Amino acid sequence: MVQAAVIESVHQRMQGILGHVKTKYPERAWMYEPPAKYFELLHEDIALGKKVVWYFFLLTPEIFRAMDIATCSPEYVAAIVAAFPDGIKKYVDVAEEKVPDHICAVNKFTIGAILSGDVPRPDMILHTIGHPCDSSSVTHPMLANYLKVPDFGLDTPYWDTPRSYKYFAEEFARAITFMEEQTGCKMDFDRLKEVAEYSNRAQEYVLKIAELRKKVPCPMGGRASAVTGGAVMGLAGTPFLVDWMARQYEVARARVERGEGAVPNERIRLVWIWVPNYFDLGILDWMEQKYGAVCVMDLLNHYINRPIEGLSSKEKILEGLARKTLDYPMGRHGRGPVEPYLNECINLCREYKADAAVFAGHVGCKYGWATAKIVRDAIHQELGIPTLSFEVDAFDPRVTSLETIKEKLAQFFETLLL
Amino acid sequence: MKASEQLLELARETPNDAVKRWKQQGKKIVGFFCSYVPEELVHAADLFPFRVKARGCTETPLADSLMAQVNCSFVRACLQLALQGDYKFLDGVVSLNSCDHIRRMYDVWRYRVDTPYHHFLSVPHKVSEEAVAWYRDEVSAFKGNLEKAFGVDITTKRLREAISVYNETRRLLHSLYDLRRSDNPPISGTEVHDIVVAATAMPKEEYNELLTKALQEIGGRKGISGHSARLMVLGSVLDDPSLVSVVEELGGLVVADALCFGSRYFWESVKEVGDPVENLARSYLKRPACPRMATEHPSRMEYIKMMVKDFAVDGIILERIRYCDLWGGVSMVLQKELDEAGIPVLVLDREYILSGVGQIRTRVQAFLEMMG
Repeated sequence: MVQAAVIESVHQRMQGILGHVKTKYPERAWMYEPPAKYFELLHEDIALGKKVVWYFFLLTPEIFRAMDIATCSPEYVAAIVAAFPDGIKKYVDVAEEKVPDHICAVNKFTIGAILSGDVPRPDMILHTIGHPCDSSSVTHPMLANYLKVPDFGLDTPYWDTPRSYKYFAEEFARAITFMEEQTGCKMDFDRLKEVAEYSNRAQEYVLKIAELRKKVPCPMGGRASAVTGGAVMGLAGTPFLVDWMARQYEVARARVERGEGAVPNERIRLVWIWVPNYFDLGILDWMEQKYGAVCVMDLLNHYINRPIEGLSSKEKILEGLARKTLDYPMGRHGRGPVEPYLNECINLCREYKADAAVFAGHVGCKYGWATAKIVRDAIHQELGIPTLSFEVDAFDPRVTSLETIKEKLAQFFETLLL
Repeated sequence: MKASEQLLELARETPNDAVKRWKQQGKKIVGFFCSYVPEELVHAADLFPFRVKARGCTETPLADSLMAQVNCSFVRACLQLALQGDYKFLDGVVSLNSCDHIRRMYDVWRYRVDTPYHHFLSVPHKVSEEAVAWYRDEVSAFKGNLEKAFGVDITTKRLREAISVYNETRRLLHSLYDLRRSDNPPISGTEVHDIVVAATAMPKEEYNELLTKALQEIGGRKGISGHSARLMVLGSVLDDPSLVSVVEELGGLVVADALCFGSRYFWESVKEVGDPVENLARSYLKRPACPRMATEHPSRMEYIKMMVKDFAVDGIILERIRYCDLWGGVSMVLQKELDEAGIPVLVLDREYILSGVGQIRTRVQAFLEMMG
């Protein structure tokens, strides 16, 4: 059995947190269920001695479930650990002894956790290249070299064209063959079909909820959007996710029917156009409670993919999953020209009737920062609304503290929006 | 003026005399941002491919207003020169997904710099037959796009001729590098660096002629002696030899490199028989790899070790421009493997506009002393 400190620790802590919240704040417990489930599944799979594959979080996880592989996305782990009181500091500091501090914090978390011996050694690593950034593209193959484990990098074209989709779908198929060879685990296509069906059902709810969030007042708060992204990313293809999304949808639908918003007095509608503040998503609650400022949509948790069509054909399922991977938020915003990102920012602000956008620029996202000015100008030009920009490390409060972020938001709300 | 001196001058100035002469003929120039752009296509279209660089940039206020501090200072310096009009002589630019900074600088360039022609190549990040096939189609599309935009016909014959001219450049540059293999090379690393940079800043026929003469001049020189160590430089883009110059002022002699304005630019020839478009795609994709080719770490290490052996390198300087995640990211494994191979490495973080020279000098000096 391969158990290691971080996974076991997070599993235990998430179980503890979920139990505590269920007792003390039962109305909020649903938000803690997905990460608790993710680590519960991972813990069980590792305990069963399944092969362990690390995968980059912008790869959709259904294929692993259909191969009976234990899957761990270090980026997902980083996002959860970042929210614990001790955060990811320890691992970032260890990593910075070996790589420059400007490498993205989620990658530094992975590097630090490996150097500390606190994560299970994988049997292989599956990752993307050029989807979305340099930091993630080099980290995974570098770690594969360091650990001397096999890796497969799915090359991602720059353009979104039918030719790109075909090329990437073929990369996807080659990745599966490589995984089969390296792990000895075979793809079970009956199981894949079942997994894809669960995935589709969950995604239908994701799309319906995204529509409901356009209503004024917005029926769900900002944190619901942020945790939904993580849930979809980690648990796609599970019955758990279908059930969890269905419950969220029912809450949203009922609120819309009653004309209720997530907050009693919605005064400001915001679209968050870069990484949510994962080290403390409580900032979203604070904005709502203090200013009636609701993050009605956040770009990086805006999952647009249509359910996969043609589930009777394994080729169609794989093509659908490949396309889903390319359509993942951040991936579709980051790997190609600026226009898809820019246009989506404008469209979201328009469709969700935003009063302003917030670009909380994660310092690890060089490509996001590079066009922040162009995007901010375009939003203002098209819609006449302002964008607040500030620098943060979404995973490490030592770059910009929670208090500083609150000050920036408060000043923005009070000066321009109220 | 000697041929070698002419080359050094052409490398230093933007726009240089070669650019001015070309424009006086009423001909057009296409800028490119990365060594993975197959220049031969541009050449075959009777256009002058000029690699965008930032030599001479001393501050970046205009670029800083559009990009951010977390964007690499080389890219901001290039954009600065464009915004202040230094690249007005370009009739077009071609870029690719080299790195996050360059591809996004291209976005900003499209929005804020008035250059008439733009093209972007989606270059695979790995070497495989499928990737070669993809890149072949990209190169083919680029060819069609150039033909349409500039009203030219890039025939197979013209493309083969361009490949042949470029292979001659590569052969000559190999001859230049061969001179560095001796115990007492007749040329410094600083000069070599500028001679390679000049290759990206002037038409190749003219360059080949000058380099042929320069090789004769350099071959007749007395070898350099008294250096304390033979060094290799690798890392982020380096279009200005100031860093190399600092190293050599302190007694080191740079005899090899793995730079995109260095050996990686010309090391591999392009096959001259067969489909020239496919040959270009295959050759450019398989050239000694930058870390953008994320899965090519083993071949990259092999290349570095080959250079160390063939050029009798005593130590390596790995220079990283701040915020370059590609070189920053691979450096952990690179250092580990070089340590295991017993090759001393000095990692230098720097900004494009060379500041903190004092600190760099101190560290290089200590490194040279450490190697004895």
